[in-house]
Amino acid sequence: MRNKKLLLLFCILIAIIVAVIGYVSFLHWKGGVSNYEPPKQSSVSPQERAQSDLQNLSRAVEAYFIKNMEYPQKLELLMPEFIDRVGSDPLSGKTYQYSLVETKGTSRYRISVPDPKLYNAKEFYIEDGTLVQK
Amino acid sequence: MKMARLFKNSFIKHRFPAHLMIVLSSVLFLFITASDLYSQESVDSEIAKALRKIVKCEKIEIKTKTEDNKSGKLKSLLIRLVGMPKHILPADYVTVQYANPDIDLIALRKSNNFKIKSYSNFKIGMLVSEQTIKNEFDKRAKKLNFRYNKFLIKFTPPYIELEFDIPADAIPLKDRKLVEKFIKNKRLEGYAALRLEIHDNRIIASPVKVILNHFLLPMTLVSEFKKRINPIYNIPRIRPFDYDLVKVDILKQQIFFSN
Repeated sequence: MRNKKLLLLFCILIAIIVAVIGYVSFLHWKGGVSNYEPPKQSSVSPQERAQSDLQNLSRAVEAYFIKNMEYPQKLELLMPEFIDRVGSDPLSGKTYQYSLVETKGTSRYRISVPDPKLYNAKEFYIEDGTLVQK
Repeated sequence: MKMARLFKNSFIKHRFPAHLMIVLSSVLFLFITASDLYSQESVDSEIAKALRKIVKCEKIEIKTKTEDNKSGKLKSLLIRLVGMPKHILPADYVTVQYANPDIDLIALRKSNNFKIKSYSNFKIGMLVSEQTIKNEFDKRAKKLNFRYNKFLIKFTPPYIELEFDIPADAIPLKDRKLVEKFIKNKRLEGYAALRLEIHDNRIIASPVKVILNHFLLPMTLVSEFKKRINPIYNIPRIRPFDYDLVKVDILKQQIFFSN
């Protein structure tokens, strides 16, 4: 009985040692120079991707305004300082649409998906930082 | 009688012809519009002059938009501050936007003080470039006589990536204990990916991945690290503006702070 207990304890100890060595090896393996990259984003639905793209573009447009005191005339002007590339809508493959509206001396910008119907929506855009999907 | 005739004759002789009236009224109109333009320009320059007394930066630019020419009320006021002093706030651009501002013109003209009585909306944004951060780091490292083999900063939205090879004694003693087990040959070589957060004008670095001397740090250690290093920076308020920065975004070559 005592021997069985000792054997069990020994097995547990071995298991702990193996787990610790395994964990340390895992951390060492993950610490290589080839792993010098940010965590990968988990895959998202096309709708979430489009929302995130519109929000990223909107932030870049706002940042452009901070530097230039006016909104850009086209999204391509945001490159390379604020964004890598304009990107395209995941469902239609077309580039996002951008428009500037001047009302009563105030400029407003709108970035929209080319075909909102693909997202079962009548409108799908971001205007002055506010996302609209209905 | 003779006198009256004389008067009548002189009036007839010097009567204002219609074309002269038109010319005079156009000149008057031009004067009025010019004075409106002048007053808008003068408000811009007076705001800039008043701000220059308080805000120290390389350049101040003002852009105002009026509601219409008659009322002279401002629809919007844009203030752009370029090149803030690096020892105070290493920002490249700061832009302040007021919607429908009511400026205290008496204070502005008499004592050259910039004061906004009311406004319907207020926005502020700051941009700090990747290059400015690199320059600041280099400057501080030189000041502290801190020698490193490698220190790279790269913006990969939404992360900031750091690659470093630094002497272990460059790390403050209290923080060094935390990473002691990972120190090799008195140096720390590794990588970090972090996100930025902002609370009450204080920048919080939130590491999401840290590698030290070929070891990926477990998340428990990373969160302990986060507690110790933060806040990494307190953003001073630029007077006379009253604001709280609550948003921070990492863009391709810029960090963008806004309220």
